[in-house]
Amino acid sequence: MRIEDSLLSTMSRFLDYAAQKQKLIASNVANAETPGYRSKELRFEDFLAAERLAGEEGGLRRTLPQHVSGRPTLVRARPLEASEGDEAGYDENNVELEKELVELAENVMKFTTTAQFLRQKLQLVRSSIKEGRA
Amino acid sequence: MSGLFTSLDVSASALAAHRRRLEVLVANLANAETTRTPEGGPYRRKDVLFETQSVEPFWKVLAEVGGEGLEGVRVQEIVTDPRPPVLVYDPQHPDADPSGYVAYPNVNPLEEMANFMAAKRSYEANLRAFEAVRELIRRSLDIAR
Repeated sequence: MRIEDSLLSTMSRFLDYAAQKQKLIASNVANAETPGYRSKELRFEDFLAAERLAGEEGGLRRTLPQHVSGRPTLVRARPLEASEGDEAGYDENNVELEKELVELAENVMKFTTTAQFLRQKLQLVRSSIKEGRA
Repeated sequence: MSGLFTSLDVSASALAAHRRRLEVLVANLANAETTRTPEGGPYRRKDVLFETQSVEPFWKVLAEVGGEGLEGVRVQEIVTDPRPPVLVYDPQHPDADPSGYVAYPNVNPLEEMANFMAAKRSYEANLRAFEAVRELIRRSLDIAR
């Protein structure tokens, strides 16, 4: 069993994504009544595209130890464009509180599930280090 | 993970702002019949103006590309409602004008209650967001256990 396998890194990147998303949801909820605020969202496609770019080929490569890590930090969240369901009220604020709270709950569940899997996986590693002894 | 701590700040800023609004609304209700104020005349209804507030220090914005879009909220200003006072005919009142009318505050208790409910809901929503982030942090810590 390889310790650093793709599953482990996939799960940890997903946690990155969910944490990032959580920040935006918190920001949207905080500004649900701020005039002129436009809700922001992190699209999974954007995240995935940036991850791809950061892959083995085409990504930044470190040629000197002083260089910053080739693994880029997370993609920028872009402001949500007006969608068909967009109902900016009289104060030009388009945050839909219900939608944000649903996403919040969903995000917590996904994060919890993934964190749980990750933990199980690490426990397997720990167990094999200890040769199965408790 | 450090990003999660920042979003606690975002929710905290919103909780503070909405609590401020609740305070102002309560003051409106309390003064719904106040006819004397230090500025003279009846109490004038107040409300708050919210504005976004960046919660990240500049170096962090530079270091963390994903930092964009993370905005808290703060009370920019407490504004006075421009609506005129309500005139009620009551010649016996000490604050009645020569023609017998008393200027009462421009506060409508029903309107204040409606605003109060809305502000309370917003406060609760932010509390939910705060708790969710706390849960994520707790789960992250669990991984290493």
